[in-house]
Amino acid sequence: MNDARQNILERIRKANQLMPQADSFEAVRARIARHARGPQPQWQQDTMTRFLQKVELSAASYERVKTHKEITDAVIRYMESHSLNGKLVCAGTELLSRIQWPEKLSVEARAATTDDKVVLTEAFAGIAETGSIVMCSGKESPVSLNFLPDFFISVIHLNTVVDRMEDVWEKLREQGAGMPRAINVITGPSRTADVEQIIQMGAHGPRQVHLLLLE
Amino acid sequence: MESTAHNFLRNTHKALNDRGLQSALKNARRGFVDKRRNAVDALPEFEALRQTAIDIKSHSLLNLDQYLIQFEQQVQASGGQVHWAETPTQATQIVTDLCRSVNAEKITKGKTMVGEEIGLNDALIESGMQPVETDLGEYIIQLAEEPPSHIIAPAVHKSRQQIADLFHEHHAPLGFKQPLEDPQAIVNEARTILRNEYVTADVGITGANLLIAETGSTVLVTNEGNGDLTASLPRMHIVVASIEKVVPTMEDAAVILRLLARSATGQEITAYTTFFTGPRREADLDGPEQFHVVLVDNHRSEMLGNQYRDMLRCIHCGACLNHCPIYSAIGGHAYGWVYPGPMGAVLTPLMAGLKEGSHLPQASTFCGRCEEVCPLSIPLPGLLREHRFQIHAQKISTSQSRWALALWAFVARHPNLYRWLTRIGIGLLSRIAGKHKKFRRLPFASAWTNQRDFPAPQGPTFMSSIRSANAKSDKDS
Repeated sequence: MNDARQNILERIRKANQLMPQADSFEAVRARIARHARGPQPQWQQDTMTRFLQKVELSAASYERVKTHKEITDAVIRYMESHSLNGKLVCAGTELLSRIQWPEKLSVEARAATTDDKVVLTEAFAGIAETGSIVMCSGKESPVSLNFLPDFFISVIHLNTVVDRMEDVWEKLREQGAGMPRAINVITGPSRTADVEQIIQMGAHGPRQVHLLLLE
Repeated sequence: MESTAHNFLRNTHKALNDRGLQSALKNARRGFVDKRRNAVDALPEFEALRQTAIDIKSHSLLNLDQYLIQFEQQVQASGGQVHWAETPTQATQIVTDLCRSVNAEKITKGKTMVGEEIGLNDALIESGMQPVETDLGEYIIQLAEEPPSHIIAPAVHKSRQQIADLFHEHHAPLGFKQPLEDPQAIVNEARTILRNEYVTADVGITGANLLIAETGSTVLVTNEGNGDLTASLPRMHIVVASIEKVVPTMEDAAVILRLLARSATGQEITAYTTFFTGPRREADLDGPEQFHVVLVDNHRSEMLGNQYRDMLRCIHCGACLNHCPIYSAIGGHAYGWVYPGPMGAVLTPLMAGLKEGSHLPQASTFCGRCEEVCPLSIPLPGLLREHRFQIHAQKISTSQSRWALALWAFVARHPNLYRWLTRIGIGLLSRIAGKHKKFRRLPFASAWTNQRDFPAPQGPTFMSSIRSANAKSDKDS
């Protein structure tokens, strides 16, 4: 199939010779390195107000928590109110593994299976523009947690909420760890409008998204 | 996919007389149009984003070779592989070989229009594998054994009753016997059934909305989350993408994403936007062991060098379909191939052949709404006109129509003759019509008069009215 690669690239080059001028190798590299942003949508509210407004519009819910104990309480309350049995799958992040759980609750840090109903994760960042949360895959944050269980609870540190998607990219680059296998930008529960254009929640991913805003 | 575009006239007839289809189209039309309008109005920066997106795509196309190579290097650096396919046959060969290399039996699929373009499902089935569509719309039409009728809402032509019947037929043997009365019940049943497919599949195939040269990432936009389950649970993830999807950076992707969801469904952003980069990392608890990207050309590098270059800016949002009076009247299937609506009427003749698709560019009123709503301002009517020109020049149209055009062109180039003929013609028609002032039947115009009366011309021609008006004003002054 190397022929295909060669043929396609040759046709592209021939086609572009007809155009004004292609950029040099250095110019293309420099264009990438600049990471120039497009027009940035503006809004009046402060970052947090905008974030919460958009979270609500995305049909996700949220509550504020201050301590580990409050995270525990909020999760248990949420599970009880949705009649979820005493089993929780939890991401293995540093914060979440330090949380003390009551004995009646079985908590496992692992990837999700189709039997898991509820999951607790920790978000990498929040995006105020759209009310999205950003999940980066890794050993402490398996992707299946974000999609398999019906109920998705995520802790998000308020200081990780940024204005726009581009701010997340900047943050990722600053960390210098390269791209994770998957970055999931999640905005509310899973949905579909494939039956008569009527929006139904819980298509294949979580039916409900609940955010715990950690101050 | 086998094209029936040459049967466009017959397809159209069928569509116009299909009551179920007509009511589904009517239902979809308002929704898409209003939602897009609201979303665009709510973002003052939309126009600026559109201009920037045009610049990004033009720049990416101008340096497409460099960005594809950069993309390839980055995919390899993250542990994945890139495969290049000039033709649909090469592409399906690559995919089936990859699937065979892991002894795949079941293959889950996210919605991929390029997959439809290359006939991927048929190729997999022929190779003894079982493809399972996971996007609800695609799943429905896979059960119905139909092609998609819309590029973002593949089952838009189906009513809930039709879907419920289809599910009953296919799911009852699996033990799902309860009647499905509302859309939620339909969605739930599909969810339950497909859950099992995700975890038992050997390979997951998805498309890509964008490719990012900087990082070697592929971007996938969905609302259901099916694409992510498809990509992440099986042992191998194959991305099928066309070559023009590449943009330089993550920032460039952000610009296009802001336009995409608004133009497609009227959302600010879809529920899931995912950036995939390579296979699972060593310490990861899940994710595929292998990550492959198949880059499909299929005439696109030719388009880069001809009059249809602008079409390569397309981000497949479907806005041109939703706003097209022709699409709204006949739906997607009548177009006879993978891509319907204005973008399909441009692409089908280029990919399936000008002769095969020659009816499609003719079915346009050139009203221009497609170009107006296109987030990349692709001059769709201009490209359709270019097709018409080629159809005429290459003598693909009927000899009668070419004669008629030649005759008209001759008359139009001789204004005096033109005025004389129209004066006679109009006088004659108006005299024949008499006091009814309309025709029930008219030779050479039965396509019109079979449906409605043809109004008879009234009064003198425009030119003679002007002349007498001028003469009158001369006399008055």
